[in-house]
Amino acid sequence: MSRYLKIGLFVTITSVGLILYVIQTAEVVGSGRTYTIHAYVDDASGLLVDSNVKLAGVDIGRLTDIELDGNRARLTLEIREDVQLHDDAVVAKATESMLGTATVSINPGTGAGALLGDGDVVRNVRQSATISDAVGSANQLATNAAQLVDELNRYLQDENTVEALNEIVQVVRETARSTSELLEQNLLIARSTMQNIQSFSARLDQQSVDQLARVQEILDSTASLTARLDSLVGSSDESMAASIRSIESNLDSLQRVLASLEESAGNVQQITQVVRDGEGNVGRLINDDELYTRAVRVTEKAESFLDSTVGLGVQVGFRSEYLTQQVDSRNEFQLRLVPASNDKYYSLGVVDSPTERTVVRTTETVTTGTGGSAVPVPQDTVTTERTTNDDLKLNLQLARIWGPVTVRAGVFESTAGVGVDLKPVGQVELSAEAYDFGADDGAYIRGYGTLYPFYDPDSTNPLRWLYLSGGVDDAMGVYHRDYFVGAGVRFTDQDLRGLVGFIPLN
Amino acid sequence: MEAFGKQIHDLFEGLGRFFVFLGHVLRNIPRRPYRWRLLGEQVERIGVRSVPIIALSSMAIGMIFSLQITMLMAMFQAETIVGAAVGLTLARELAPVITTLMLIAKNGSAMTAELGTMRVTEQLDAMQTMSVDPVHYLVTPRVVASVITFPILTAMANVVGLIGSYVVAVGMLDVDPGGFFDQLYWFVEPEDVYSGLIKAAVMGFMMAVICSYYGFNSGRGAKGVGEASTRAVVTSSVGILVADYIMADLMLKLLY
Repeated sequence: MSRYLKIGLFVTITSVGLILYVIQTAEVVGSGRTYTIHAYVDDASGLLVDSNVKLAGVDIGRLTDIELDGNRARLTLEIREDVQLHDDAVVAKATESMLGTATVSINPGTGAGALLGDGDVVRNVRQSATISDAVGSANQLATNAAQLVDELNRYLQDENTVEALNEIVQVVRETARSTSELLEQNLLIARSTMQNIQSFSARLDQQSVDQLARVQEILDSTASLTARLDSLVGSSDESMAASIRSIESNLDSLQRVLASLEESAGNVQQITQVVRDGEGNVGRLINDDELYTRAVRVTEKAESFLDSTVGLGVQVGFRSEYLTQQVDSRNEFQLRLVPASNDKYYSLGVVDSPTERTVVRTTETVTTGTGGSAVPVPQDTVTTERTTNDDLKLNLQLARIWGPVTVRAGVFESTAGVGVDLKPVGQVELSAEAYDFGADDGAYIRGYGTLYPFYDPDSTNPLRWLYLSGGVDDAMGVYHRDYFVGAGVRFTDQDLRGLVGFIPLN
Repeated sequence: MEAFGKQIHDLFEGLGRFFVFLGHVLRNIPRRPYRWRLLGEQVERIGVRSVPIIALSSMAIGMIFSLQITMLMAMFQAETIVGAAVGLTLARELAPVITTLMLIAKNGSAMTAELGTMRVTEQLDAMQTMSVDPVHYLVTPRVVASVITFPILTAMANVVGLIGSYVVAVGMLDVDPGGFFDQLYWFVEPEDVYSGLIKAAVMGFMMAVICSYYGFNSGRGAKGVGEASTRAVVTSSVGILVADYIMADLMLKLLY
């Protein structure tokens, strides 16, 4: 393999990889930080991955994933971090065109509920009628109509049915005939009845004159009766007055009761007023917004506390570095436990590094003679044992994060050490590590920079887990100083996180 | 099968040589002494003397495009959109690509032939013996001149193309002149023009490097030089179209 062939292959492969990587991840640049929420819908037809999510017609994020969960579709929405949604938000599928494509629109909620955070689920989903629904129901209608016609057809083709139908028609005809006969007879009867009524009323007319005289008589006797009744009432006047007085006193007491009632109603009104104005404890409880928000905040705090104790995030990573002078590689497998508070993490790792560690063990045996004849001459024995190992080495580190500065301490490659990481901007991290202080040629010092171009450990796109690093290895060792370039991936593993929940913390 | 394997082998070996040459060129660009006179000579050859041909071709493109779009848009009673359509396509794609293709045909092939002849007549070796780096002396001015002149010529192609479009649409097809400019200003953003100019600079760099590379590695004799020119033109044309696609994809995601 000639040198030119090697160069050609190397540059072609790396540049093609780089171009693909940049094209795949270019959309992330400038998109800012986002958080993810989920929503379940019964019908996701027309929704497309990567389509926009709109709030009041403005793009606030993207639909990143649609997948089946049970019998429903689970939508994953990536929302810009500066857009706040509450837990009474409503997700709706809005049909955009006759072509059947749709977008997701969100109503942020009334503002009363708690804020939605990363990974939360929107409960309220409104399904709007779509073109396909309309077409579906029209189809249903057409099918039903067709069925009806079909059944009728079949019915008419059956001979028995036709006979039965004929019978029915005959019966109906007969009934009609008999009914008309009946009607004719009845009409005759009605006519004779009418004639009877006429003669009756004529007779009544003649009698009425006698009747009038009798009515006059009755009226006269009634007048005399009234007069007599009048005199009777005059004699019992006194007892009447007494009963009226008692009624009056009753009315009086009733009035008093009413007054006291009115007073208590006034009191009640006053109390209500006080409560409404927010005076007194009860009033404050009912009317104070702040108290409510505080209660909500307490609930949120409790949730986040639970998250921080139970919800350890687990990141799994692997990094590989190519040491240019030694022409060898250093590989590291990492497990990083990140509490939700995000101000510290614990890192466990296994390192396969080409640097050999020489351990010198000196054993000195001094045997002092006791004077016995069988005892040999006193002598010193010095045994020097040099062991060189390049086994897998262990990393166990505790890191504390203060803004852009991270300090790590613990076990570095199976020896004690400390490290500092500085993150001046989001994508760049500068690190220094010192360990193996007991070595002959001074401490082992590594300095390197890490570039996180589009880094997001929670992403589902593997390209976004990638980071690149480069730096100097064993900077103090004059003969062992080496330079390296490398790359690694680190991502959040939800399944392992579930496992960590089972580890007893005490 | 063996022949196919050999072809693949040769392809990647050629690419390797090319990348080494590219590295050599890149290292030489900032290196002193700066040969301003040579640079000016190349700017004049690639830039100034190409003005008529670029103006002519972009005007023709603008006129043809205008004609077709107006016919099409007349179906929707939307002839005024021709200004926006021509302006947008010229700014984003047509002006840089047409400019580059014309310049590959005019200057790229000349570059290869010139350097190839110098290789054949051993002038390049003579330079080396006089401890003058031929890449620094010959290639660097051409590359820098291309990167400078391509965007300028592209900008001019935009303007001239639009003039052609205006003449055809307004003068011959009776499109409303107010609507023509209204749609043009409404749809075409500064980003569209910038992206075209960036593309042109990248394409200019590619053309100069690819054509110089083939000139430096041309075969012996007149036949070798001819073959080298042909291959230079083909490779750089295809190369800039592929690069154009990649840049268009990135710019659609990043700029607009």
